[in-house]
Amino acid sequence: MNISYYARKRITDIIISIVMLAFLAITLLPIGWMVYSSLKDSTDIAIGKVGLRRAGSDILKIVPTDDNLLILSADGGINLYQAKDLKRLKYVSFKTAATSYFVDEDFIWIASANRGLIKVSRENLQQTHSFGPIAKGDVDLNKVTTTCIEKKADSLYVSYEYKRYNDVAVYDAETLRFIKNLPRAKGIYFPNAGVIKTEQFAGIGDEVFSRASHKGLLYLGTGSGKLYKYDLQSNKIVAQIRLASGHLLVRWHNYIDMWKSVNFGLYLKNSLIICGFTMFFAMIIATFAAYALSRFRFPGSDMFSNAILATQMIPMIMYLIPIYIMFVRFTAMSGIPVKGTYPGIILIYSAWFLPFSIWILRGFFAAIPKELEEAALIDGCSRLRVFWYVALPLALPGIVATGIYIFLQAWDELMFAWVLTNADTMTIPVGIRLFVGNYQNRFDLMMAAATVATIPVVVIFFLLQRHIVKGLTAGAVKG
Amino acid sequence: MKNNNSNLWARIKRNRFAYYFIMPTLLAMLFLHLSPIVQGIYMSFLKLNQFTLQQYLLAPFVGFENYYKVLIDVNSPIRIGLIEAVRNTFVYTVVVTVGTLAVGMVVALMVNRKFFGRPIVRTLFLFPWIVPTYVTGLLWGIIWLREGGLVNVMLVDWLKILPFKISWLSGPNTIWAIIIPSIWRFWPLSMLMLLAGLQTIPEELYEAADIDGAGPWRKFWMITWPMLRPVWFILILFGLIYNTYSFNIVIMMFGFGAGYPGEWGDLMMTNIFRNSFQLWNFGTGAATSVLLLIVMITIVNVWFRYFKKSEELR
Repeated sequence: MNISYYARKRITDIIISIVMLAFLAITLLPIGWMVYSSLKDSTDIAIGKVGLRRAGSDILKIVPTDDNLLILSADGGINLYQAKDLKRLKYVSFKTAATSYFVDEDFIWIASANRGLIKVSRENLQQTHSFGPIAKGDVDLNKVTTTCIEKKADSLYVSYEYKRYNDVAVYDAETLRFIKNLPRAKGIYFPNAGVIKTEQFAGIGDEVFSRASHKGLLYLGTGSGKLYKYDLQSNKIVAQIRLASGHLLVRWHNYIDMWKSVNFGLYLKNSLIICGFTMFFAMIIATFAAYALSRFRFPGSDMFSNAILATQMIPMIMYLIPIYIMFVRFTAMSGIPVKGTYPGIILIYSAWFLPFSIWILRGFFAAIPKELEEAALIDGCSRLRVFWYVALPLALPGIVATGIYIFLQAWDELMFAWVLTNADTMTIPVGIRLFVGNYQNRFDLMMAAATVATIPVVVIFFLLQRHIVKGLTAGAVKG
Repeated sequence: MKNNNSNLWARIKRNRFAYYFIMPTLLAMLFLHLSPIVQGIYMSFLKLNQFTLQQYLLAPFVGFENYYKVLIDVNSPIRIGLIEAVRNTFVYTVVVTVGTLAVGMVVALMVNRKFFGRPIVRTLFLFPWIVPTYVTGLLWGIIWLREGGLVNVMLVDWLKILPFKISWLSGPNTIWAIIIPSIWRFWPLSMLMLLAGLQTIPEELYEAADIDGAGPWRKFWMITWPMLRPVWFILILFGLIYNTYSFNIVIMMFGFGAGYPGEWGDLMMTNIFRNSFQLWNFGTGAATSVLLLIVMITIVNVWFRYFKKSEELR
């Protein structure tokens, strides 16, 4: 029991460090969860599937030959197996979604929603040609559920099941060059498109998606990526294998879809405009007042600074009710719209954040040594010149930091924005609610938008962290 | 008397530069702070709803009827919701204020030691505080989800502490569902302030205590906590004010900005907001906020007086 004082201290220190790091992990977990959720599927968030989904490796097509077996799965996986003992020879994955295949003697054509058309040589399973995503322009790639591909003569006929589902696009089979669209031609080329025929076989648990027979052997591919070799003579399963599971589905696409699902770009623009102008006006007015308060003791200065502090005590809604009614009334009287315009909300924001700005800026001005200004005054500078050439440049870092802080506060403001903006001037906090509501439940997009709304704040804050922290803590420590 | 007046006039004249400088602020304060507050107090005596909205201040004057509805009338639906909101706000404010202070204090002591990577750890600890409050609300709305929420998945599926998934966003659990995110969001500010305070405490005090043989617990309560007095005074004061007026986190968490927090999650602000801007009862809304303001002024005054008194006792 003879642990020295220093050893004991060291051990305590290490334990505290471990506790601290564990707490740090717990603290950051919700933020990590936000970013992680933004890469998931909306349904997965709702049902509580924690892991990322893997692409389903349903076996869509089996092409048996004498020696080899070509197995094509829904995740874009092309497997080449030995026919005799079902040993894998080659495996290539194209990581496609909504895949469909067409196979002839020399080539495999893949049609997919995310990668477009791909032409693969059967000899070495290498891609020879490709044609970017089929679905372009007005088509939401995430909503393409099925593609169909067919080859007749030298043309490829491709259809994708979304919106313009009746159209069939025609491509050149050799070079994958786009030729033309055939409107309303789907019924002719793909009468059974989108229907996966599933059958049940004795002894096979899953539903059978594809079948192919070759020399008395029947190959059955199931929805879970299992392949059964079935002897037709003895009616028995001879062998079975399971394909490798598909690639992880990280939905980076959420970060593109969020701008289309609701008009998030507009809300971002509104937020930037409103918060930017608020910062600008609040800083200009507050700088003058803070300088006056920190340098002069004039009759009424105590009352003025007390009034500034007292405003912090008044609930926001107490301003909001009269201001809302004033806005409505003013518009009814004069015909000039105020509610739902930029100037209206900027005016209110500037006034609302003014007292707090003055309070912080006062500390920055108070930190500037008075002697500098006194020296300038003795040299014959006017007060205005002293303010402009001596005090202002010295306080500028503080003003910038305070301005940024006010920007972040305005970025975070919801109650005024909710009432005083309309569909055209909505800021992010008001607009972000639209992702989940009456006609859509996109948790994934909402989390992506939340991440996007957080990023500028994080970047700005860490760039100016030191100044902001100094401004905020200065008042408290001095008491 | 005359001398005094001319003296005042002379002081005003000497400082006329300061008056020019505060003029814009003064105007803004008059028109956009004082005038709405006075109007708000007057509106609490008016029957102001969507029908009389256009009459503005000429709406029918009803005296204390709004206050009667809010405080006394047993049959008024506003009062029923309000009692719950008051209870929730009280619990929420006290727990969140004390919680942020406690967590902030513990972490501030932890990161005030010397260890490898201290600046990075300090910065990372600030992260929750940088996340906007509306994002906090949305994010925790996802975390509390009944089926898919992280909390239920962890408690039920991974740790198997609970036998079944419980609903966090309805029923009595709601109060915790709003308190925990708020503490999570606001404690880094406490840490920041307390850390700045910790660095002003002279090292000699601790050395002296070491010589006297004081343990860490005693050192904390006899040196650290009293020395941090101005910091936690401000933190508790601002905590009381901001948490009583908390709105964003709660409103965004329920129905992601569209829902009603329920009788265990409704706060004063959400209650008044719903009353005013969804049920269009501006009169009662204004009356409730006036009452809230009176309570707040009382609390702040009591806290100041207590602080001054204990300062004198020292």
